[in-house]
Amino acid sequence: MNRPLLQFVCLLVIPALLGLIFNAVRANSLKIFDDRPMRPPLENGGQGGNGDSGGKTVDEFNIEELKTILKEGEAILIDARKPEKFLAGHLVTAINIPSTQIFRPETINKVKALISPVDEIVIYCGGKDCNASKDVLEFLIGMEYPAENIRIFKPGWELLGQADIPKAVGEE
Amino acid sequence: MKDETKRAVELSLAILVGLVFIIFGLSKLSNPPELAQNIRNYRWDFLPGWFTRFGAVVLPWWEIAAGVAICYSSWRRPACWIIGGMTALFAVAVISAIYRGLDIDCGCFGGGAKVGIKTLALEIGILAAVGVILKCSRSVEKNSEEE
Repeated sequence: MNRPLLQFVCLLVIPALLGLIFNAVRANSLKIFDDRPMRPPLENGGQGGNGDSGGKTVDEFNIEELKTILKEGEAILIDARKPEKFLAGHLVTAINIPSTQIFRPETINKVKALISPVDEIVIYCGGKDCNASKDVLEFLIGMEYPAENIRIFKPGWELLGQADIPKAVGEE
Repeated sequence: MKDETKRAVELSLAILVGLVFIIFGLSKLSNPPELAQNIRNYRWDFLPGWFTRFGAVVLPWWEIAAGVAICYSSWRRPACWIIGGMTALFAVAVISAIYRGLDIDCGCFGGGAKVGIKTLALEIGILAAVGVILKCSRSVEKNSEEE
């Protein structure tokens, strides 16, 4: 092997090994081969369905359970709808992470500031046909939030808007 | 152009490009999860998750190593290949992001700089500088052999 080619290989291999070693010992290390399966979104809010979601059946995550979670403040609630819809009405403890803005640096900073990796997270969007919750779920998993702590309330605002749950208008 | 001038141009550009790459690498070194997110933000869905995470772990180290190596004449050429390759890849990523209208952080400095024409101009400038370094280096080497 000629000298420049050998140097080229050294410049690729040695830093890569250093990076992997440094990553293995650091506090916020990345698990390179940890392809955690995404938890499937719940198909409904407990009004039928029999899918399984990380050990909990869909029936276990009904609107009553959501009310309990909210009452006890056990979870961070994320409204994935557009800001104008959020301003028009949202659940009282919800924070707005619009799926259309998840790639902005300010959104990343907001998520880091408000959500800890150990928090339980519930996401909702407009209704059972919207994909905004799924986009936010993928974004959070991308930010290394554990998939097992994140759940989607699939019926979304269609059901929540009519439910007996405290709501607010305006900013969070 | 005289050989001395070529050597001076080569060395100046090599130090400049080297410093830029060392700054790129150091700014990203402390937070691999954030860099992984920045890479994912480009939405190249064909890339497997492990590849993105591996890139986030090793990329800053490659940048620092290549940035240091390009400052030394004996390591300059392979460092140019690596810097040129990485910069070409970054430029393709930036062009694809601009084309798709993605409003994202470029991930160049570990956060804060958005993808746009300025980012692309920086990448093209680095590629041009690497080209000049290689050309000057070859020309000086050829002249020395002839003498």
